[in-house]
Amino acid sequence: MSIKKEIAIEDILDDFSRVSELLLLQLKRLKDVINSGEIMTSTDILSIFKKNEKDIDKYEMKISEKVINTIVLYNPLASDLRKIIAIYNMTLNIERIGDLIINIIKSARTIGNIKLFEKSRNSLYKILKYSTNLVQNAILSFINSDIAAAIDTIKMDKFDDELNQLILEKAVKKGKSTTDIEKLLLSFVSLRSIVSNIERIADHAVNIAEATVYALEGTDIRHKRV
Amino acid sequence: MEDTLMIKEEPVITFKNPVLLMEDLSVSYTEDALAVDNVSAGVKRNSITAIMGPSGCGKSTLLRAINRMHELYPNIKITGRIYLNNKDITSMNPILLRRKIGMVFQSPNPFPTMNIYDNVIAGFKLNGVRLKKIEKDEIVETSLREVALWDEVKDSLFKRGTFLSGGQQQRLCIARALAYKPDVILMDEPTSALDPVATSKIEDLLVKLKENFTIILVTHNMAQAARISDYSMFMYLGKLIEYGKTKNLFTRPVNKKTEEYLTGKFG
Repeated sequence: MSIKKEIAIEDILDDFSRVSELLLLQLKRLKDVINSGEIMTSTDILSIFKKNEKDIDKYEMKISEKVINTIVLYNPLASDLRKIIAIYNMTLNIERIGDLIINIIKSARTIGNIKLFEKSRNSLYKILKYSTNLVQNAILSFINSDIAAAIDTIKMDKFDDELNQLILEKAVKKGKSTTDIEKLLLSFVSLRSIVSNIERIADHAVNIAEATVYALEGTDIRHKRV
Repeated sequence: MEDTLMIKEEPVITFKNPVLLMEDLSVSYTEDALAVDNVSAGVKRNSITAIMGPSGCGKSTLLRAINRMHELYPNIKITGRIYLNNKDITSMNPILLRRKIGMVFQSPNPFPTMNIYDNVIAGFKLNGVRLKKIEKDEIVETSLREVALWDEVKDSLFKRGTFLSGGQQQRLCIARALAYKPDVILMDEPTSALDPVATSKIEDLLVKLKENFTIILVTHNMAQAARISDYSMFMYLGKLIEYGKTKNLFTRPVNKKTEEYLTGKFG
């Protein structure tokens, strides 16, 4: 192999590892702040998350540029080509997950009813933990070249709609007066937004796992049943 | 996971009604080593097929076997069969065979003592085929137009072929091969002696020519194979390791050796 090509591909892999670590750290912090309730009480929580989010965005641009340069300059073929195309694809998904994390925090800040949030906190934590595990498994399946793990991740994405319903029911049941119901519904909309964003994190985890399958086997299984 | 998700293609593609078919072909120059080892493959009509592999893998030997050029070498042993349009090539007159299977070599080799006009119809002259002037004119113009050389040389047809640039000389050699309206054109690294601009012109020409001819091309240049070929063969130590659609072979090769060659682990 050309030394320069090898170095270029290793460089891309290193950057991918770093941006993956950053994302997993963001997800862990998000779980912590939801679990502790800090998401509702802390005033500077958004700025803390935004700092890492900016780094994720920078990595996305850096990796994209390196992938394009490697293709133009070194003409990678076969598994080398699939690997860097898969990394490009996965990085886009990682960047979007980063955006979704920020959206979750912003939505949480608009929940007027803290009691409602408290009642839903465990459910939210549960579904976030589920989605985070999917993301982690998907990323690790690529790093460890583990196609079985990638397929398992894809199969696991049967997001629990019952949890979503539970949150909805709890929200509506609590309302007594019309004003109460209005406030609750507004808070519910924010809660629903959080849940949707968490669901989309799981979707992006599946995209990452599908990119792993492509990198390792050369087969595009997007939009196919597994 | 279901097997249908993982499309494991056969390493060697097969075609219905191939223009050329090789069956169990082996070629050896010495007793103890096979330069081409038991190759079986068909070539699709009106396509460009690239033969790739590291130096000494048997690519050029395979190519020369197709139009029986090996008969010009002493002590060579060939087993197996090659069919051109379902006809065994050993049953054909070799001169006639080489009209139907033309060859273009690495270094442009227009006949130095002939002018451009005579170079194009050299095959007819050398084989004693008599043509009327009007027939010769038509063959020359048609062949030179096919290689996009007519406009460049129409006013200097009676100048020596060696007067042309490298790229023009190579196009002249292709025109010479086309004059006989062959079924197949064999090319052994046809652009390796040319500059990038001339190479690009030849590559564009080949893509155009495949509408009417079948082209088999030996190349060391993987990028070239990727750019212009429809199908690619990978050979190693005389064996045909993998053969399939170029885009598949280059993105997801089936055989580990092919993968290693494409990713530069050897070659």
